[in-house]
Amino acid sequence: MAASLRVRLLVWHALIMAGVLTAFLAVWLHELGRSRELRLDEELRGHALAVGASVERGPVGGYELDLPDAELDYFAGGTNTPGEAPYYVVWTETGSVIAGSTSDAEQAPARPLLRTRSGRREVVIRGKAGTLVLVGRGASTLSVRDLGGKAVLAAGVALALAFVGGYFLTSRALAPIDRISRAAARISEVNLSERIDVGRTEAELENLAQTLNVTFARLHAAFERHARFTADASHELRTPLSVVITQAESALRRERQGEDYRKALEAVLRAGRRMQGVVDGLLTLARADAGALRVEKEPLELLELARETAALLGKDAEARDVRVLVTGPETWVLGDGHWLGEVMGNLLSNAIRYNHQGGEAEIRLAHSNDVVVLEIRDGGPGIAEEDRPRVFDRFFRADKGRSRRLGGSGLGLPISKWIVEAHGGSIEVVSEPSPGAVFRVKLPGRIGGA
Amino acid sequence: MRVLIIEDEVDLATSLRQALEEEGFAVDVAEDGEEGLVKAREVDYDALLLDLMLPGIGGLELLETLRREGRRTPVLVLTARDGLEDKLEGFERGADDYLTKPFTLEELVARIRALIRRSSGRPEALIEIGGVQIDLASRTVRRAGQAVTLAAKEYALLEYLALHRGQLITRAMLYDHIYDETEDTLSNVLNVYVANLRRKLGDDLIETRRGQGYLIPDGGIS
Repeated sequence: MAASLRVRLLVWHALIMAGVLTAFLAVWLHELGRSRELRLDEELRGHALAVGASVERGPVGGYELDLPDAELDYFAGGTNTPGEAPYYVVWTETGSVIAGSTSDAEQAPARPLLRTRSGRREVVIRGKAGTLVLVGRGASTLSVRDLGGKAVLAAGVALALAFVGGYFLTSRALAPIDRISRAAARISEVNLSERIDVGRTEAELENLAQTLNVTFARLHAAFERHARFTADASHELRTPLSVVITQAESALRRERQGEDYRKALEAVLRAGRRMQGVVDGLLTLARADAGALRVEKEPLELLELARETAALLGKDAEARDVRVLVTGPETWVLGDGHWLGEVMGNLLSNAIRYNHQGGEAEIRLAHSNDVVVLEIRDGGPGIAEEDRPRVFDRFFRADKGRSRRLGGSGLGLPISKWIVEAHGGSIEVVSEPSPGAVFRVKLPGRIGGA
Repeated sequence: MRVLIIEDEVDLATSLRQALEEEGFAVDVAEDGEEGLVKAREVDYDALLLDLMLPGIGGLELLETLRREGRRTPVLVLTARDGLEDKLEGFERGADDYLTKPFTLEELVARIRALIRRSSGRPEALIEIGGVQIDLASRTVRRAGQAVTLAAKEYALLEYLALHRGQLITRAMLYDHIYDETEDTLSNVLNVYVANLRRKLGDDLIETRRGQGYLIPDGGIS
């Protein structure tokens, strides 16, 4: 189970309270005990002085004690608790007892002192004529145990109250967090386009609420992108699929001539090839998305790759009467020949397709500093300004009808973008004054030979 | 019945045309939105097959425009998009029916026929007039219980008159609804078909209004 913030807060709160109360009580009780002790000592001392002043020489020598009434009362213990009656003893200088209120024959102490003996506090001073006077009484009044007991009880009650108060306090403090987490749960379950109301959030939690809102926005956008992609992919596959099915159904409806069957099969083949293009593209993208596609880099010379690509597409270029040029110096990069070849092939075949008859398509290589620039240009109608940002979106078609008729799968550019970026490069559509489209690929490169 | 296919997939349009022609329809094809709009305005088609993903004017926009201009031609939307929102939007803009690709021809033809029957105000497929029973779904005709063989255009003519029974149909309308744009016709070929129909099904079935046209009287409905 996860540790509870509330429990932790309460425990700490209780511990601190207990600590504070304990320290306070200890100090207070200690001081109380001390002050009681001091008072008692003062009292005993006072009476000891009185006793000491009451020593008189006896008529036959020796000493006598003539206590005033007040002292007699005091030592009679009338006002004191039983068993706690004060007592006194007076010794001569030499240690023989002159008088005493207790029958305990005590050893004369050596000199004046203050002491506690078997639960009794005793004061010894010098009286008249060198006598030693001892006054003592039970020290149970010194004990703070009774008060201490009550104090601990009171502290216990205070602690309990503090605990209860702390519980309510933490509930109130944690309530906003609970509110936010409930709102977040509802949003994520019901409608990702809703947001937490940051205006109603406490200052400390504002960051939390805003971060959550940003996360929801990103999730929402990702889900929308995914839904759109799935819808587009489904459409791109269903369309040629319906050609296959309708052509086959129609051809089989009645007995036909060989020529009719041939035409139907050709249409089916065209559609099948289109589906193949889409499926291959989807698989590549799916693998790339899952991180399962590896780009294996080795020294690669791009001019030769460009020439090979141009040769591969020679027939298509001829069919559309488009001239293909390859210009630039020998250019080396660290790259994957298969994938970079795909990029060139895709860009060049677009340049050939979206071109006028008699037009030109050019692969131009250049390098400066450590960047290799590969440009593919065509003299066709180009790409409209508003379409440029979306040109690398999956299944994006600037002109739906045309590109489909020309055999595009709608995935060539997104795949090319992925490949280029996997090489640490960039790809963009460039605005130029002359008509036609220019795609510029930048790759980290090495100048000169291998 | 004459239908217009508005579909930019050439391979699909050609096989649809072939299949529908073999089912007795007169078929025209448009390859994009503009062409489709022009044709739909020019001719009173019995049904439109409309693909939504068209270059230029999209299918939905075309549909909306036609409805706004008062065209009540039944429209069956064909599309590869099967999302609910797409369907709802199609119906909202005025589509009468919806088929997602890929579809079977059998279903397509059945739906087109149902659409056409419904829009003529008489949705039932079986018609009985006099002793003649016409099954519009199976395209068969019986007279007094006996099956009667008709040529394709003879049936097409009969079908149109029967679906609009009680209404006077001019010769021009008949031409418009049983021939497509590519077919040249001899102006008196209709007379020949009508004469054949009378011979096979009885004189009372089709009435001639001199100088105006033909009609099949509104008889009992089976």
